[in-house]
Amino acid sequence: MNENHILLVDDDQELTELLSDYLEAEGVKVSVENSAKAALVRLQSDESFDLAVFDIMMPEMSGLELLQQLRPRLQLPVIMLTGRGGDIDRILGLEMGADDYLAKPCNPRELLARIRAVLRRAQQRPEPDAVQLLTCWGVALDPSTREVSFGSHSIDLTSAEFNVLYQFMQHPGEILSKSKLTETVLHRSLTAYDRAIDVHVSRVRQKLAPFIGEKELIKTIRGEGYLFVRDNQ
Amino acid sequence: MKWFNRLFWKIFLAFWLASLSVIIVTVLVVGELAERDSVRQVFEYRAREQAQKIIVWYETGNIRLPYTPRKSREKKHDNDDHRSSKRSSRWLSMNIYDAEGMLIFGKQAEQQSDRVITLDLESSSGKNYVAKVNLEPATNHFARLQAFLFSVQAILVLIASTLASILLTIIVVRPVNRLREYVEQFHGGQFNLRIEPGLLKRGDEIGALAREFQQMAVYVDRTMQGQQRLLQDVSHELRAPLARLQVATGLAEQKLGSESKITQRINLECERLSRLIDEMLTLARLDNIEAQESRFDVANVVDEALGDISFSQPDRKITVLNKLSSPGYCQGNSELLMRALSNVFGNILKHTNADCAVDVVLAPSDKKCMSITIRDYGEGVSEEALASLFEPFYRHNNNANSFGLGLSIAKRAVERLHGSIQAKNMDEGFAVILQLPLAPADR
Repeated sequence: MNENHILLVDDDQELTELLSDYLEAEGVKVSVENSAKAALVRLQSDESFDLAVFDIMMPEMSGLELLQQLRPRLQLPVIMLTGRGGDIDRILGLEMGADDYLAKPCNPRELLARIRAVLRRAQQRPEPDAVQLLTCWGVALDPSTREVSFGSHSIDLTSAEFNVLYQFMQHPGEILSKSKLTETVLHRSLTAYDRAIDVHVSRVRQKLAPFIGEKELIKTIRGEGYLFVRDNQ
Repeated sequence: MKWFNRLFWKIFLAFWLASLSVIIVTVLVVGELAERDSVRQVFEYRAREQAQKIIVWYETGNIRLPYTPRKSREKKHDNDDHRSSKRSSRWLSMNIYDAEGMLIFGKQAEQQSDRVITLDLESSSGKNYVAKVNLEPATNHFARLQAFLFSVQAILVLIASTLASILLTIIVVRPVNRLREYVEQFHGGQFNLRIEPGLLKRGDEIGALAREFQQMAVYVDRTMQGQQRLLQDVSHELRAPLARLQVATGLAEQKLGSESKITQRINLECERLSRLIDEMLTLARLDNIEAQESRFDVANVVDEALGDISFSQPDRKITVLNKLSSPGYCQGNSELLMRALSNVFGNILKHTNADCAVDVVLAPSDKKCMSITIRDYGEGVSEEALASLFEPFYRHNNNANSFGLGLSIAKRAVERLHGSIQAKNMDEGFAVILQLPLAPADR
C-alpha cells in the first residue's frame, strides 16, 4: 500500500510540528500549511493529497471558509478540527461537506484513527457483485459511479451522504440503528454526544426533498434509529 | 395583573378622590369663611337698612307699637305691610328698642343672646335706638354640600377631572408600559437592546428612567460580553497548549509504548483538564446559544440524552415514565434542554452506585408547564448541600472527578428556556426537578 499523503492546516505552528512528527511515525506522509490562504493556493495547484485536516479556528480565514471555497470542486476528503462543544461549528462543517470532525484538543491516537477511517472509506471500491443500479421512489443510485439521480436530474451528494443513502436503499423497510450506520457509513464506532450521522441523514433528507416532495422517505424511529420506507411498486 | 392593580385605575382613582376632596373642602371652608366675614357684613348692612326703615316708619307713626311682624322667614308677597322692602327677599327678625329700653318693634321672647348682634342706630331726628337682630339659623353644611354636588357646576367639574385623569393616565402609563416591555426583553436575555428614541427624548422622569435604563443595559451588555470574551479567550488559549501536550504525550507513547503508566497518567490528566475547559466554555456559551424559536418534543430530547448515557454507561438501569397525555412541546432551542439533561443525568449517575436505579418521570405540572423529574434511590444529599448544588464549582463530597459545573450548566440552560430547576431529597434518594413552560398549542 502506498503511503498516504495528508495536508494539515492549523495556525498553531508548534502543534503542526508535533502532529506531523506523530503522524509520520505512524507511516503517514504529512504536509503542513499554517494559514488557510496558503492551504487554498496549495490545494488548487497540488492534487497529490489523499486527505486534508482543517482547523476551524484560524485567523483571517477559518477552516469553514476554506472548505466552502474548495467544495464542491475538490473531492478530497476533509476532517475538521473543531473547538469542543462548539456544536454549531461541527454541524456547519459537516453540512459544508466535511467527512468527519474531531473536537480539539484531542488524543492524537483518535485523530489517527479518524484519518484512517476516512481514508479507508474514500479508497473503498464497491465490490463487483454489488454493482447494480438501485432504484427506490424514483431515486436512482449507481454504486459503480457513485452517482444519484432523480429522472434526468442528478443529485449532488458528498461521499458520506452517498454512503448513507446507499445503506438505506440496500435495506429498505429495515430499521438501521445509529451505531450500525456510523460503522458502515463513517467506518468508526458511535461515541457519546455523536451527532455526525444525524447530520448526514438530515442532509440526505434535505437534498431529496425537492424531488420527492412531501413524502417522508427516511423516518426517525425514536430510540432505535432510522428507517427507509420500502417502495412497494 | 388584576385590573384594579393597573396604574391606569390607580391614577384615575387618585385623581378622582383628589378632585372630590378639593371640592368638599372648598365648599366647607369657603362657605364657613364667607359666613364669618363678607356674609356677616352684608347681613349687618341689610339689618341696619331694615332697622332704619322701621325707625322712620315708627317716627312718622306709620306703624303701631310695639309692632310684631309675622314669621321672620316669610316671603315678601306674604308680607303686605312691607312691600316696599325690595332689597331682600325676606325680612330679618329683629327687636328694636328706643333710648329708654322700650321695645318698639319685634317679639320680646325670641331673643337669645349668643345668636344676636346689637346695632346702635341714630334716626334723622337725632334719637338713639338699639336694634337687636337675630342671626340666621346656622347653615347646614351637609345640605349645602349636597346642593353643590348635584349642581351642574359640580358635575362639570367632575367630568373635566375624569377627562383630565384619563389623559394623564394615558400620558404616564403608555410610556411606562413600553419601558416595561424593554425591561422584559432585557430580562429575557436580550442584552443589546436599544430603547426607541421617542422614550429616550422625553424630558420628564419617565424619559430620565428610560435613559438610565438604557445606560444600565449598555453597561451590563458590555460587562457580559467582556466576561464572556475573557472566558472564551482564556479557555481557547488554554486549549492550544493542551492540544500540544496531548500530541507530545502521543509522541512519548510511541517511544515508551502505549502500556506506559506515565503516559497513561498524563493522558488521564489531559482528559480532565480538557473536560474542565469544555465545561467552563459551555457555561460561558450558554448565554450565547441562540434562543431559536422552534418547537421541540421534550420526550425526544429525553430519549436522545438517555441514548448518550447508555453509551458511556450501558449497565445503568434508567426507567422512563411518560405521564403526559399528549406530546409535550417546548419553545426554544432543544440544545439547551439537551445540555441540562445530560448534565443532570451525568451528575446523578456519578454520585450513585452502579446498581442504583434511576427514574425519569415526565408529567404535566399545570396547564402551562410540564415537569421532568429525575430521581435516584441513593443516599440523598444533606440539606445544607442542597442549597449550594447549583453554584459553580461547588463540589459535593469533594469528588475529585468532577468540577462542580454540571448542575450550574443545567440551571443556566433551563433558565434560558424560561424554566426552573430544583433539587430535593425524596423519602428515598435524591431528585432533580425541571419545570418547563409548554409551547402554546397551535396547528
